[in-house]
Amino acid sequence: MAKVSAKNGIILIGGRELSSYVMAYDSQNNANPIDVTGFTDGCQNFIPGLPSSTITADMFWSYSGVQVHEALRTLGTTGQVTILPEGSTAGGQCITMPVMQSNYNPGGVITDALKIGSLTFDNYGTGTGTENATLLYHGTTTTSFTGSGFLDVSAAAATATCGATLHIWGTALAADTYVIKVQDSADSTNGSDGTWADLVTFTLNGSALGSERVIVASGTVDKYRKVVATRTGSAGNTLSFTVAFWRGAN
Amino acid sequence: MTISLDFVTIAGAIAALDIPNIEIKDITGIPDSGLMVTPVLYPIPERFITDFNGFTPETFGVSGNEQMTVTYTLNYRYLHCTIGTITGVAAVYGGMIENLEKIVEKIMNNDTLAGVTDIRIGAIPAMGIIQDAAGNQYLGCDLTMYIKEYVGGA
Repeated sequence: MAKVSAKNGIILIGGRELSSYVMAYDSQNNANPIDVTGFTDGCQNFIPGLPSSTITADMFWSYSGVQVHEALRTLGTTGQVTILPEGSTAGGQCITMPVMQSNYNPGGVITDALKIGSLTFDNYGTGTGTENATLLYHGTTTTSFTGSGFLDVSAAAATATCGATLHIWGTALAADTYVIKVQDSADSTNGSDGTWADLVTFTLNGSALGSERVIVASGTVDKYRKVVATRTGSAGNTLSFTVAFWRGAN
Repeated sequence: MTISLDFVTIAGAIAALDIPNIEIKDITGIPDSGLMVTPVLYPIPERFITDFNGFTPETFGVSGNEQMTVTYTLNYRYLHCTIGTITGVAAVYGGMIENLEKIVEKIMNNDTLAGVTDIRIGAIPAMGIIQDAAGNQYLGCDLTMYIKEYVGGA
């Protein structure tokens, strides 16, 4: 299989779509192995410790509306970082993580553009580190929709914990609000027919930019999933958002 | 956002600079001959844009949302006066250098011209007897201007 270009990558930080300010990103995951080697072991013996993950992003400076400086200058902010390495196509893989921002380093040299350095986003005790999710939706709407396109994400129903991460990264709505959900179905053939049930309901409603992660305790997660967004109001405000979903162990 | 280059804007902004006693031509006003217009500064038509570095993406993003830096060189020719109509080089050489000084200073004091992120005088690759497009000879020089443009971005 051919290599995949990184240029289509999308980087969402705390409800901001900051791809065009990110020069490079990196996701580090570590099992933090513990050495439990005994006298009778034939080699060193490690067991997994408490996992840790870090996402770093090398970024340009911008101070325009809700862009880089305004969004990222406050240290210690918690939220979600989600990376869509291959772009915005539904069904694509996502790297997502609840994070605490550990640094912010504005700087410049006279021959180059202003930068804010290499930002580090660390775990803060929530989740198990990086969550490997599937993209359900990335785009913009001005009205309700009852299906983002449905996905057979993992082939069969399973009893598992699941979770979803939402980024609302478009202009905050002036009048309309939305209820955004992930639904699942065991029998749909086209995303509309069959029986759909709410699986994840987000609190964020589009009235402000932001990110949210919702975890659902272990239960049946059906084969098909989709995003629904139900609008209240008729102003036709633009809502831009992304939903990534995962099921089972990460 | 889409990728937008500013060759035309920058040439226009340079032409709009006010340098006393020197006429600066835009790309739409390049003289075929400098006989009646000296002292004049104009784009060298056969190599106005050189050293164009292409587009190298610096950030993620597609369809013009990615940020890039484009650098290139603009080449200008300054014709001070005609050779042969003067009493001697010594009589006009000082005036040419004074005008060259004004041009360089004007550019370097206007490094945020419309369309550019940065503009610097790069080099003076030729000085002395210079020809116009018609082959007439002048006392003059060539100037290169280093241009940096930031393009793209969401």
